[in-house]
Amino acid sequence: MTSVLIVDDELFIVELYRDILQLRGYKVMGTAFDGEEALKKYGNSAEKPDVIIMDHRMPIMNGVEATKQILKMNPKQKVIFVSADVLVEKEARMAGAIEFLPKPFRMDDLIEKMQRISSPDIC
Amino acid sequence: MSKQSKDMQKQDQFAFYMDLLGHDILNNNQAVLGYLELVLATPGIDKKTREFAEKGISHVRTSTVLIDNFKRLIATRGIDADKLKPIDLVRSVERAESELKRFFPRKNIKFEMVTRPKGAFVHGNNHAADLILNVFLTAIRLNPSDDITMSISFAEERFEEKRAWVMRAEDKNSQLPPFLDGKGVTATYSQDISTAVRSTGVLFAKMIAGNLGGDFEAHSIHHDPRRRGAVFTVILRRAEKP
Repeated sequence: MTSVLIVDDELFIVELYRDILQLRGYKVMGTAFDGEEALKKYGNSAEKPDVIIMDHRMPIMNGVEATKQILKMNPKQKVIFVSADVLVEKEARMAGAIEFLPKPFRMDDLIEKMQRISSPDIC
Repeated sequence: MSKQSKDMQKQDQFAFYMDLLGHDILNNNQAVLGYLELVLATPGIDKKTREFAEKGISHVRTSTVLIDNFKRLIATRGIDADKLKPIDLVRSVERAESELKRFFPRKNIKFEMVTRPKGAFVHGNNHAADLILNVFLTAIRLNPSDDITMSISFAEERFEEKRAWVMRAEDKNSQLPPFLDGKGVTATYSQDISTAVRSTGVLFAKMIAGNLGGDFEAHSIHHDPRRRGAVFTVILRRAEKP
């Protein structure tokens, strides 16, 4: 079962992703409401998520910075970047995000990207 | 601090707050869209519920476009259009057609290209592509029918002493609001702001096209404004092939 860490400062967005991903058979192994919390949870967890869904505009530490730090810890970590701010796409990809989805997106598009990047061929 | 600097500061502050507001609305749209998708994915969903959910999704998408328009207006303030990356106008129209079919799954949308010039490049980057999408979105919302046929032509002309590409889209079923017809878009919204709120797509198109060094107009194809049929014209600065 593909495991996911959700990072977004909006509780209702976290709930939405959790509701839909669990229904689709994904294991939501954790949630974080800002980049710093995501870093702590990621660093302290022995089992790493297959995919991280990362928002950008968050308090304390934004998504681009959190992505950079997480990829320093584990360069193979797959991060899907999601943001209402389309102008941040280039920065997100340069930070190492493997995919970018502008909000609002269809959840089917997110699932399709999750399936694609969870496949063992994608590194 | 001079009055001009103070005004600029106020404008920047306003843009900042509007950006935050737009960001929050897009997050809310994400939640609505996601849960409506869940409704649609429910096994055994009845036809009427499906129709209502699909209509809800269309409105969420439109709301998103309105927010994007506002962000684009902010982003294109004082921009030098000639420095923006060229895009192919014909391809932008083709992409808009595919997008609109996703926006309005219950409508039968058909674009008929009367002319299809090769290399119709214009300055404007993704701002221009979004302008094109916005114009068609506005046109479709002014058409009460479920069968929509746009007749589209392109021409190279001069606009304000510069070379430009002009796209004209004619829809025989679009019904322009009576306050809009015959006066031109600028005249309409400058006279009475209450009229603008009923057709923000038209207003945004006018402003964004202007920021990109071009223009936008919407006119009835008849002398009688009560009859259906309208032409939407977008003018953008011609660019060399990149």
